[in-house]
Amino acid sequence: MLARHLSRWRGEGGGYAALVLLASGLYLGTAALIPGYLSLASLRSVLLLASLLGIAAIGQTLTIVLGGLDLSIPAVIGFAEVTVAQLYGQGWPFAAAALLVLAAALLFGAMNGLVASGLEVHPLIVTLASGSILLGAILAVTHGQASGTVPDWLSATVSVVGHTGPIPLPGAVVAWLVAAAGIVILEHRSVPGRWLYAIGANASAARYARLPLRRVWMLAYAVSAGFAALAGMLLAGFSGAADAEVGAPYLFTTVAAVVIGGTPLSGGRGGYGRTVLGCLIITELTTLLIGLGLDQPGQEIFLGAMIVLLVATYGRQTHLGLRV
Amino acid sequence: MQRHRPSLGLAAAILIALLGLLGTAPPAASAANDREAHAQALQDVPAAMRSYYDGFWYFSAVLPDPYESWTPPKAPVQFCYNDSYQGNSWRAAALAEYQKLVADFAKAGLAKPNLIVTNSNNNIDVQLSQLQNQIRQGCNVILSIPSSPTGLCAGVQEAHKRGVLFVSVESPVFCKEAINVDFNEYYGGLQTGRWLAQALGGKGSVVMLDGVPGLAPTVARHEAAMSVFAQHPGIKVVGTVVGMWTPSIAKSKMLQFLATHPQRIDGVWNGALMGVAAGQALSQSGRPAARINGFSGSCSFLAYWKQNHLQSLSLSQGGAPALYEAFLVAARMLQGQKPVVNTILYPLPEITDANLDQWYKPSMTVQSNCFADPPDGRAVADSYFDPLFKGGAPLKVALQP
Amino acid sequence: MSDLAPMTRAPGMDATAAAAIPPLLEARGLRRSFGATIALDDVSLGLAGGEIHALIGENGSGKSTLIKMLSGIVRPDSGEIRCDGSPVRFADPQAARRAGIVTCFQETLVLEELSVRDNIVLGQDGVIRRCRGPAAEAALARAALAELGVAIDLDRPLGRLKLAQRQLVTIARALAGPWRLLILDESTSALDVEERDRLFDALFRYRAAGRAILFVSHRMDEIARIADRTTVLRSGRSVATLAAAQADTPRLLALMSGPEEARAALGQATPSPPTARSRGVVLRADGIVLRPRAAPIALDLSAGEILGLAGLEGHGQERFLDCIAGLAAPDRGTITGGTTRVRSVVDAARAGIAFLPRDRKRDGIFAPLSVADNLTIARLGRFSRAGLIRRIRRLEAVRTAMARLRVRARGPEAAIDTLSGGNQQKVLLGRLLLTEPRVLALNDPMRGVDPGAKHDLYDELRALAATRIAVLLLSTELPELCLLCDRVAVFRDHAVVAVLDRAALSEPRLIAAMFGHAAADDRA
Repeated sequence: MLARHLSRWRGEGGGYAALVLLASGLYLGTAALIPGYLSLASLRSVLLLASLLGIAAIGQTLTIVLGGLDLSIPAVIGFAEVTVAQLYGQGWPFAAAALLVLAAALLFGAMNGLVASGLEVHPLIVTLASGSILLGAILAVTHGQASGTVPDWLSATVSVVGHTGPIPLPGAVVAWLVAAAGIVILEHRSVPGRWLYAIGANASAARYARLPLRRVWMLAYAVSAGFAALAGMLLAGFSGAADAEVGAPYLFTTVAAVVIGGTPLSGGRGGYGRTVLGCLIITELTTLLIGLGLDQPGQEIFLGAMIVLLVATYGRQTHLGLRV
Repeated sequence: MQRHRPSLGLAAAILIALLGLLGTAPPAASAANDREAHAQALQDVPAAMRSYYDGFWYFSAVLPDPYESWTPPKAPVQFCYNDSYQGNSWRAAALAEYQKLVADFAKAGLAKPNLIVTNSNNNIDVQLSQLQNQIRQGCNVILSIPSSPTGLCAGVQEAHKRGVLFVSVESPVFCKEAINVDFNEYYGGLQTGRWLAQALGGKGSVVMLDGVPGLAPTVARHEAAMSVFAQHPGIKVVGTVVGMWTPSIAKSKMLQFLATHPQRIDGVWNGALMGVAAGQALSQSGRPAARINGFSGSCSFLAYWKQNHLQSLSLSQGGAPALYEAFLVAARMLQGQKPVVNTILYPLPEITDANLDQWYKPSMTVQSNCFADPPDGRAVADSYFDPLFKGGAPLKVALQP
Repeated sequence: MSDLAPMTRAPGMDATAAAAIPPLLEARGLRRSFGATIALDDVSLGLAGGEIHALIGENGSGKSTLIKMLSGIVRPDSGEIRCDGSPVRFADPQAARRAGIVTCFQETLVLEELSVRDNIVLGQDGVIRRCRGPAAEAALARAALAELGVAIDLDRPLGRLKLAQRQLVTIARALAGPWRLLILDESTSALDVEERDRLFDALFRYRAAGRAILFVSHRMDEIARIADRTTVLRSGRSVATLAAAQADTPRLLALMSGPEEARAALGQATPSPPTARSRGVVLRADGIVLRPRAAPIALDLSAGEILGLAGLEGHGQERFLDCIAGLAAPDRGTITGGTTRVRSVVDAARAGIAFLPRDRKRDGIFAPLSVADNLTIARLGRFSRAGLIRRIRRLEAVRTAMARLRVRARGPEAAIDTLSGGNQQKVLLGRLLLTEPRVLALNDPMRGVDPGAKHDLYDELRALAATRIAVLLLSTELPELCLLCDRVAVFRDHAVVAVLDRAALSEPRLIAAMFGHAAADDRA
């Protein structure tokens, strides 16, 4: 039944209904199964965790739409988390530390895009390698002695009980929703946004149409690294400890959020709106599994099976036989 | 052919699933529950020391001393360090401690001044070949932190055959030719479990906060704490949260656990490094504070403890003391002292509300990444090991950590 | 060779006996809808052994759906298919193949990374099991290609082959295995005259052996030449089946377009009025040597002129066009557009040269994106402020372009891949026009375009020429060149062997030049 709904989705737009249904159904289903889940505190927890994932997954979505993949996101998260805490701990003004981290991340991402498009090396390899280099560099510089502090307001931004002005949601959630709206608008209404989709859909045609492929690749990977850095800085406030490996879980979950949202890895379709729902679904799902007391291997098997199921369902949508 | 695209999707799914697996690699713990065999293994350990060996089978093997007929090399001795990782402060502290101790020994003419160090970056094959190289380079004593409990055995055998002393530091190996020096993981679970049960007055609901599932330390600590809670009918374990010894993961999982468990949580048993995360998750979910233990004595936890005026208990599991105790065992063996068994276990020191100020330093913050060192630099008094050795001569220099 | 042995009745059977037994394949009252779209309304068709049966109709008339149905890819909502008189239901393409029906599709579905041999034997193995060893596979592939009179290196990756060779490989794939009905969907579109003739020879042999061929083509001359009977589809219905004697081109065109809107189609369209060539040279190719030892080429293109490029496949006309577009560099010689020397695509853009690649699907359209995106993607800057697209402005421009080019689509937001090939081509032409070019370099723009859309595109090219845009038109269809061009440069052996003026243009002359029999007075 669900499969039939999902298989009707095509192209960029439309078909959100089933995804929204899945996200809200999961929430209500969990609430029915677990008394007490239907509380503001629980909702805020889920939203906060989804927002951290969501911010990290912005770049994953954009690079996948472009026909690539960004596996350096965890490394950039770790870099930002460690660096911002360390610099602030050494007495730098937070804004200066954050700007430096952001600038370094943008440069790093642009390099990823440049190498992947310029040398025509698959971005999977480029970003895996560059991520590994970045992590190695952090270890070399800090000798694993990373330490530092973050300002209290940053911790409050990623605190479940945080407020944003009169809104009873932590700053990270509000920032995520604003960024999501911005990204979705840019995807559809900005010139680079349309280029992104065109290049992802057909790089060869993009070359003939003289689109600036290299610039778009650099831009997409720079944006990816920029938001990964933002996620890293938020995680510094979230977890407290400076840890270069803090981004590790986001390798799997960012790709999974994109895929569950229905953006195909082949590029040119889908978009961040879907990933937002994918992030919510993943977070709700893992929460449900924890709530049901499933052990760790059980959770991973369930999540993996769910992804295979969804991808198999989405894959059917382009079955040539179903086309007129 | 028409199915080309879906198969692409399927391949993608498999790729993603594989990426997911990168995060976890749980080897099975050896927990053969053969009481008699365990008692048999401990027959050479003095009766008074046996309680410190409780639960050893979860994470190590206790075998006869493989260096029974070993003749210690003549001074100056070449010390070597076969490390598997250098990416955290714990490892850095251990290395610094080793360098200091070797320098002290060299000054007394007992050791060559250079310490030969290798780092395999958690690649066991690399570590094995590094070990074999060190044997060929003329190392007399090799302290090692193996990245696998069995992967180095070929090298350990070779070392033993060539009269090289191989001592594992806080990572016991199942090779019968090795000397292992470690704190008792299981005993640590008992210490923290007993404190939590007592702090809760023997009743209340407890969440277990575990490290990487399936790893021997996780299982040993968890089982020990559970054995304590089993003796208190008033204590109800409401669930296990897998925090992977990583604060950010522990906090996320804890938030999700609390979102789906509306009941009051009285205590969190913390299997190391996740106490602050658990405390923050509770308070941010609007829950009353719960009793949370520390395990490794991380600066972060001590700062959290101090700042929030908690009541708690933590063990101290720093890198420098771990290296010191292993070095001490090696130093005794160089003097001809023979250990009663191949695996030397000791209990970890306890940080309590009463002695917190001796451990806590104002430089420690919640974001700190260090470990608090014992005021005297030792995990246990040097004399703790006396009953575990026979014969030989006393140390020529008084070791200072 | 045993694999290629026909699974059919013995040849030489007399006519009365053939009439007494049921047709090899018969379709009755086939109907199928996709959502609100009725793809097939009522189609009936009979295919006898030993005939070449042509199927024609405009794009959207239901040809593709019918073929997919006969190949077991699409199932009919109602109606029935009979094989040798007994009803069959094909659950999947394999079932159709087991019944002896093999299909060579228009959209050449190939695996570019794999070798020619692998592409030919593709689909014959199980997931793991290989039916035969490498040597037997090679023999099978070689034999299948030999049927078509071609020899291609079996180990070359398909992606490195020319379009024509790829098409031959896909036909060979259909032939590699037992069959008795071969369905060819626009399979001659990329072939040159020689290759096509060899294919036809093979088809005649199969016909003589009692096998059946269903031949889908937009080319009237081909149908006239080989078809025994022709079935015309219009709006999902089979409107007539004509024997060869009755199937003259005007009649077929009339049946296709329907009595109410008997449009002037290809054969009857009015030729372009002659253009004065004195309007100023916009593009000059001087001393171009396409490969070592080839004769240099000198061609001028005037504003408002349509210059055709003709030649057998692989005789240099495509490479010449690539050089004009800055995609390739000639061995020697200069190309000057206006005052700009063209050495790269950037130079070409500066010189106002817009290029339309030949492979629409691979190099042209952005498949899931909308008509609006596809039209404007290269010139989004025109409709944006501070990087944001001004939607109303863009929509107006898109609507204007769509109306002018007579693009038939649900609207500007329709996904481009829901449009017919002809309408996609109109959108791509629109994309080029938004760049305000001075020269249009078009590589076979009418390939796979239905007659109606072709007609629209002809009109549009003439209109563009009238606005002083110069057009370089590479085409494989000779009637088209005769109809549209002011001059046609004929390539042979990577050099121009003849430039035929409008007055001298005719198909026989073009063919003669292509085959190296240019009359001395036509020489450039």
